Amino acid sequence: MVSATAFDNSLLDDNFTIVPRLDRPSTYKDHQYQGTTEQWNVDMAKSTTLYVGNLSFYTTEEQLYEVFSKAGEIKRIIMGLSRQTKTPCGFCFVEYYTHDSALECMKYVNGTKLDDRIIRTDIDPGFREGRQFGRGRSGGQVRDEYRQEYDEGRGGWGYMRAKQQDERGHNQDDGYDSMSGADKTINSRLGSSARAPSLGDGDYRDD
Amino acid sequence: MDFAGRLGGRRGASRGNVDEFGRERRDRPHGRKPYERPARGGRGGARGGSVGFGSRVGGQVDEAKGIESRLSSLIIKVGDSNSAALQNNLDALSVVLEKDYTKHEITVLQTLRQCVLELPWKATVYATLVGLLNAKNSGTGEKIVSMMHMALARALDSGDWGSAKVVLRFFALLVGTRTISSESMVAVLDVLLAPVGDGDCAATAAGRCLVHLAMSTMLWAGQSLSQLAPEALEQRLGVVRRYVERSSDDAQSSALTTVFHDAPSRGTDSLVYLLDVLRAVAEGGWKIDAVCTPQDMFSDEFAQATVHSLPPLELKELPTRRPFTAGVEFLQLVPSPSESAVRRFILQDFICDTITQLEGNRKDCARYLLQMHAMCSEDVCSVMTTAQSLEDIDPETSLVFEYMVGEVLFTQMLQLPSSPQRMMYYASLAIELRKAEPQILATVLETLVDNIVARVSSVDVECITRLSSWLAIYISNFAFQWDWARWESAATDTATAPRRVFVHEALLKLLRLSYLDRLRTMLPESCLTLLPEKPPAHNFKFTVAAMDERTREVSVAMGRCLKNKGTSDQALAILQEHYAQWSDIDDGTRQTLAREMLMEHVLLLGSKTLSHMLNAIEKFTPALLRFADSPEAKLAIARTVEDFWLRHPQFFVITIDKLIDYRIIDPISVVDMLFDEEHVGQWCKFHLWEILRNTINKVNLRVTQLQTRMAEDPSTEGIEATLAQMVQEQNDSVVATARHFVRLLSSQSGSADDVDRAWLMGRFKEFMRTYQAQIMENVPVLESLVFNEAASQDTCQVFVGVRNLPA
Repeated sequence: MVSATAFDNSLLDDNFTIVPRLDRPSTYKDHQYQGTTEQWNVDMAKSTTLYVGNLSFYTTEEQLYEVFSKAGEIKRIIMGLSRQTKTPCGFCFVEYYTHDSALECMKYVNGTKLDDRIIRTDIDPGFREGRQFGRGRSGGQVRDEYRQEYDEGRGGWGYMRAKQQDERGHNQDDGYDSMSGADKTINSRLGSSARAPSLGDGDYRDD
Repeated sequence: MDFAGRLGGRRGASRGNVDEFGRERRDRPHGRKPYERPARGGRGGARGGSVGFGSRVGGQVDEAKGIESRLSSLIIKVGDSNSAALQNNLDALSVVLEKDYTKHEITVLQTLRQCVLELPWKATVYATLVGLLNAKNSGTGEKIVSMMHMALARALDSGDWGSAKVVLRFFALLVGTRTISSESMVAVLDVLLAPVGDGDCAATAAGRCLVHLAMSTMLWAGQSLSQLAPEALEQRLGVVRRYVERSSDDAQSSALTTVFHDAPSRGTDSLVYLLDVLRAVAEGGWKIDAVCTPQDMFSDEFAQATVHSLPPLELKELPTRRPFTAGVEFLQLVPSPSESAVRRFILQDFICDTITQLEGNRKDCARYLLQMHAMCSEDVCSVMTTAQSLEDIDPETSLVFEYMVGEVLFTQMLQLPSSPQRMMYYASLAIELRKAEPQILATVLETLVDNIVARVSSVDVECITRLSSWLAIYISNFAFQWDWARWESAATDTATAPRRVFVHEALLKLLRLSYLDRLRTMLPESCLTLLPEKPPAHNFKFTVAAMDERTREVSVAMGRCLKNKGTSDQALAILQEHYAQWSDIDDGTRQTLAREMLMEHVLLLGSKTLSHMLNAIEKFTPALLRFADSPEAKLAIARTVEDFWLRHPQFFVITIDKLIDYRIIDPISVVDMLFDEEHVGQWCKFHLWEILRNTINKVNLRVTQLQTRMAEDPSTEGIEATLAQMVQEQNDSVVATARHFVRLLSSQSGSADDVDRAWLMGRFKEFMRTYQAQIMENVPVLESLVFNEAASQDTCQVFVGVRNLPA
């Protein structure tokens, strides 16, 4: 008979897998996190919150709710807003009731599409007041500050490039006002009562 | 595929090369992006899977790592193609492993263990490899057997039935490679079968789960045991046969969990089905010819090997943390040749295990699913992704691998009463499958969906709902492209016809994920009437010009107050001030009018987004609670919500949910609202039942959470009383729901016509089987109050069926 001491099983790593699991946090660490590395690890191990990125500025909370509720019951969604305009700037936090739901979301929702964009989720140590605002110089997310590609769902050109573009084409633009119809089609998702946020909406959230 | 790159052990080393989402960084000539920060060290234990090499230093570490990852990679890849070279490869690999084993013991063992657990379709390959290692060095064999025994014990302890099943299959094959003794195998079977005995014990979910494991093991141990221990095998087969015969579902129970009601009525009992397979395989001399059997090529080597005995397996009390599973009969969604039934089962069983075992990574799961046909013996099935021409492939004449994958996916997704994994897994897995093989899988999935929808009138109502949700997610991930024209005739069906309802509800789900104009551009003209005419919006009551003067005054004052950030008290004061002057109405009417006025305005204030809605409800909770002072008042509030969100089902669903959270309304009032006479004729609407599920789930969750808290700290003040109250609420909700269902189903006026009644009946079955545990808690009350002489025959049959379902 195989003796119980034939091999010390405790030498083996129980968490070792061939296929990496998708419900692990990435290596990102919020540089504004106030706390020790140990505290970070504790927060992450029981976190019920996800950071969600690469959203279109036009994606509504209701759309997010529909997708993210597929992983578990949602406590709240906190839209990421531009510090300056207080309009959505392409990210949000989703808070579930349980840590398991956050993990399920990493497994099944991360990397699927919403509004034709691949959404990225990551375990987050937890929302703190102030984190709902973009950290870029122009108020939005840093990634949109220097972006060189045109991205219709995220306000067109990156902020810096848009500014340059603006200055360069200032004279040419006169008289072409009526031709900018691009965001009309996107915003046509709004019902007659126009409840979803639009870019000019200043009081998106009261807090 | 680069397997080496996926080894857990290597991940630590490449951390600096991935971005915050764990993706490989692209090489950028201009170096870092402005927001990139220097890579930090790994975050301690947050990530499992790294093999410890910490003690070694410098170049030695790299070299050792290099060898270990190569060894792992060889083990992981062996048998990926069932080529003529497999025999040589296995032989060569066993030589290499034998040589390097002592130096890299941990890596080799861990990799072998995970290969058995994570790559279940290669069970015969790994059983052969381990057999060869054991033949070369029985000490190594002993260690592997000991390790796998531990893995089995852990799986059984934690209720990980999927892992238990694949390890047991591996053990069964190890009997054939003379690595473990037949006596040990029989002893394991006896441990599994001990709790069900051979006596007259009732079928329980736990018992069925164990019998299923035993039968699955016998399927693979049969060939060896029929030679080494034929009487023992025969005796255990008798035990399971008698168990299955005496415990198979009664007709009512199987009707409750059947997906297709037009299928041959031999029941859906998975054990009966598995017994058929066992019989067929036994008749064929226990030979399984669907997959490659490399073990047959090494009989001479195995003949010399030392045979080990397994330590005794202890089966403690079975954990109930994870649901028991007794397998399931795979749905037949495309025709298949009847003479291939056993092969089909064997292959789909492997597909099923793979979907279960790789649930942690749907992307790799999809990739492996599309490659695992390599394990099939020659000519067992056609493979679309590797075929020269798709024209020769016909599911009627040969098994088609990709269709079998799709069938298993839908089988798990539509499994009743609940799917083994969360519904979203099946949507995202299908998405990954199609991403891996865009053309072929698009066709395969489309065909399977179409074949289900073609039978939609006979499909269980809950399954129709699941398929519509699945389809919406799936379509939204592929640029909303779908050939809607195939269902265009649904647009001319009557409003409650199953096919029309399915297409309409799938579009409503898509609308929640997208927006109306986007969908309009994707639909053919002929299907446009299946979409709502206008974008979803609220239905605020006090905007009509026909409103009388004094009502308008209140409404304007309320609107102004709320818009200017007025408080709960200020709102109450305005209502008081205005309605007090209405001398022609009594206090009751005054209260009713004020309640509606407040509710409508709070909802309007919160109508912009969910956050606005939450803020509005939270802010005015004190005022709302003043008006929610009786069951009738709560019901009226729930009705106001429905009316306000008449054109926006999603907001209706969520608002009700939040009002329960804030305890402004209670679950019973929601149940009463749902079964309102006004909904007669509309039982086909999915969102009503979404609300019912949410509500009962919430009640159940509250009870579970309180029970957990009480277990952790029983001294918490008043917790016992709160729990008792919650349990009461749970029981009341279940009884009230059953009562409403039976009342409506037992009366002429409960439904508009037969189709309407069929929808209601479907939802009744869904409710009864989903909340079976709560039903069982309330049997005496239900018997006397609900399922009495006044109840219709068919509702009573459902009740009988639910009570007979193994719990």
